[in-house]
Amino acid sequence: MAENKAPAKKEPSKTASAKEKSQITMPNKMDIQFMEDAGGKHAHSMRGFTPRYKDFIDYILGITHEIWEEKAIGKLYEYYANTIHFHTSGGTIYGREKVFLKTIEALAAFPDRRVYGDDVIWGGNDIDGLYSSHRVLSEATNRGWSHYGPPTGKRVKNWSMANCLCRQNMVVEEWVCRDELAIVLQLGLDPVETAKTLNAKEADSASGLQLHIAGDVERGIGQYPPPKLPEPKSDRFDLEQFIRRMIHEIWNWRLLNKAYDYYQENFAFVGPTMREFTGVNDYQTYALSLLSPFPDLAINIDHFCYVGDERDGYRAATRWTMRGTHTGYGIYGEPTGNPIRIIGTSHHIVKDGRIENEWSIFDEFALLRQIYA
Amino acid sequence: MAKESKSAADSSDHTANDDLRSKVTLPKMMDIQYIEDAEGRRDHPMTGFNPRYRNIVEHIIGHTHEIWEEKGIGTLYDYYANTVHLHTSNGKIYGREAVFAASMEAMAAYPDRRLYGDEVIWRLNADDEFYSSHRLRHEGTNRGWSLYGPPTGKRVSYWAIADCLVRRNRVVEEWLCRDELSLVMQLGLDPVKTAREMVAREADRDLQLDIAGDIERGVGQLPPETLPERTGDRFDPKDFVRRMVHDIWNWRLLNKAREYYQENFAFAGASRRAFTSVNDFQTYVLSLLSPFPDLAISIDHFCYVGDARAGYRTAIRWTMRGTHTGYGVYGEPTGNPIRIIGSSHHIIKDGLVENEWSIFDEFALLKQIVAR
Repeated sequence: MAENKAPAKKEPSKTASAKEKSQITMPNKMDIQFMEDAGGKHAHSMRGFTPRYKDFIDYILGITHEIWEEKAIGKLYEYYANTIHFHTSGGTIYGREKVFLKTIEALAAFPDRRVYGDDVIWGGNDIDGLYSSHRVLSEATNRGWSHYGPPTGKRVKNWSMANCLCRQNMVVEEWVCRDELAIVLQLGLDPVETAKTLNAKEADSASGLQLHIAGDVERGIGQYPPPKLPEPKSDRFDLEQFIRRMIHEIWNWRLLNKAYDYYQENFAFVGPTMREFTGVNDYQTYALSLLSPFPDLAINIDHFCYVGDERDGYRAATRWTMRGTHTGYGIYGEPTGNPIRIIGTSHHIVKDGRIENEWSIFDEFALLRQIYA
Repeated sequence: MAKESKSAADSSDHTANDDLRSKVTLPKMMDIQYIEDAEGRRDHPMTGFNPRYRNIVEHIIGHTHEIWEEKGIGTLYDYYANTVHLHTSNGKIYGREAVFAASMEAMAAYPDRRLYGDEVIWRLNADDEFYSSHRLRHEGTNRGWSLYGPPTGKRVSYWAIADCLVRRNRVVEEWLCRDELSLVMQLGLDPVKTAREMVAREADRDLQLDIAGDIERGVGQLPPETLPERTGDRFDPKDFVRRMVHDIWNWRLLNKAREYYQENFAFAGASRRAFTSVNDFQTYVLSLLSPFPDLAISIDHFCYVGDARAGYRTAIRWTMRGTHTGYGVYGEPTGNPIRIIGSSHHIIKDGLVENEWSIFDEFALLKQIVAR
């Protein structure tokens, strides 16, 4: 939905140039050990940003390393705004102090955590904000207490997508999609039991007021079909239109057959809760496994950006919201009728007009908690 | 309805505001640690104001920090007029001493309270007077006694929007919309029971002197007034927001939400309502129209900052009136009249709302519903 309009969250004014987009990409970076102090020589306009990092990718990789791996947690004062909004599928938290709390809690529970920056796709500009979509593989050992309980000594790994809006050297808004269910499973916990326990623990006071808003989940208005997207204006390949059309047609129009028009036959998929497969058929099965429990499922695109070019391939980052009502059978068991709302992020590598790789990450544990709320 | 009272200077829209509106915004300011003593250097005229702050936004963020975070409570003598009027949905309090009392009570109950200044939207009325709408996120721990009783040790977190009329360094009038119901629920109290107790405690007037007139959107049986057609092609944020509120809320044309809101806009509301879509918004509107079928919203003040390129950031203060004659979240209809003040902030990009914060005191609403 919203796809029949122009891009919902349009990047205003001067965004990164095509040249910057094709040159400043992760594949053009080498090992993190070769990241040198740029001494103020920025590769693109980064007014207000630390002179230490050469470009926005180095900035994202660098501050992640400083805070999480060097454990320079106090650098949050330098790199996070005091009024940061931090969004997850579980809700929004406000303020730098909360980010401190969460960071310290996570590091105490997983002190040896490594945060492998797998890709940084970016857009925007240094006036309105540089936007990054950072795909991370985390590996760690549960050596301390976490909100799941005492240390288990278990090794865990999971994917996350951290999307940051940055201005003047500070993250001012962040959307994090962490594959939390992978952690819960690897810690040896029962997901449904744990979801119910945490829900009970965080429940509000015994209030008869059910203030939660859950509107109609619509793909088209009322009984109408979902809106049609306008035909492409020119023959030139338009990546944003390609991604928007792909998601709208496959997920909102349920035209699963069209997956063949958008994906390479043997593309590689990495998804939530360590789902991994290759091939369009498995992808269709994956889509059905989400459509079946949520027959009214709708996906909205909240943000889009990309790097790369025609020759090397495009790398696209899409942040989306998935809404639905748990009225169907499927992996989540007996339908509960609960409304769900989840934020997710997808990265696509697009070559010769077809998707070669997809990473689609959302917090499936938050989904379970909404189902058993 | 929708008469813009109060703001005396509203008619004479300074052209000087236009340029400043793009420059003096909170997104341009970044972190609070970068507020430096301006030593009288100003971004715009601020006659009679503390030379320490460079502009309105810094003044608001800075004095909030001084009074409630540094606990320089006595600076209220510098920053509040002795005859300040403070309006809430519960009524008005008068005078600086009452502000002292309320501040100290809140600080004693929540000694670690943080007030995250999330937004300051403003309007320069004159060289020595401005209006500001300040959205804050409160975070704190209930470590002391409050009007809700003994310390609970509970963490609380909720929104407030404080609108201030500030003249020569001093707040002379303030309209405060605090999300009190979030606080009540986070303290672990039963909202309806607590509302009843509060009402009983405050019931000092046996005479029923409250005035509650007919709630009219149109006069008598006439439909609500039609706003005049827009003139000119130029996007006018004031016209946009007024029309939006009037069309959707007073005319009940919920379908028009699609003409004003991005499909997946983000909404943060009273009592921790949060959602992201036009459909949820329509459901939210219905959840207020259903218990109060005669609900009317009038806009009391409007101001904005930003520009077409960076997006407009608008602030409206409004009054919501209605009669509790319908079923809904508030239970069995009581027939009571309600009157609530609220504030909404909108971020408008490319002619559509991208974010909305609409805060009102829903606990005050509950109190009005269970009164008598």
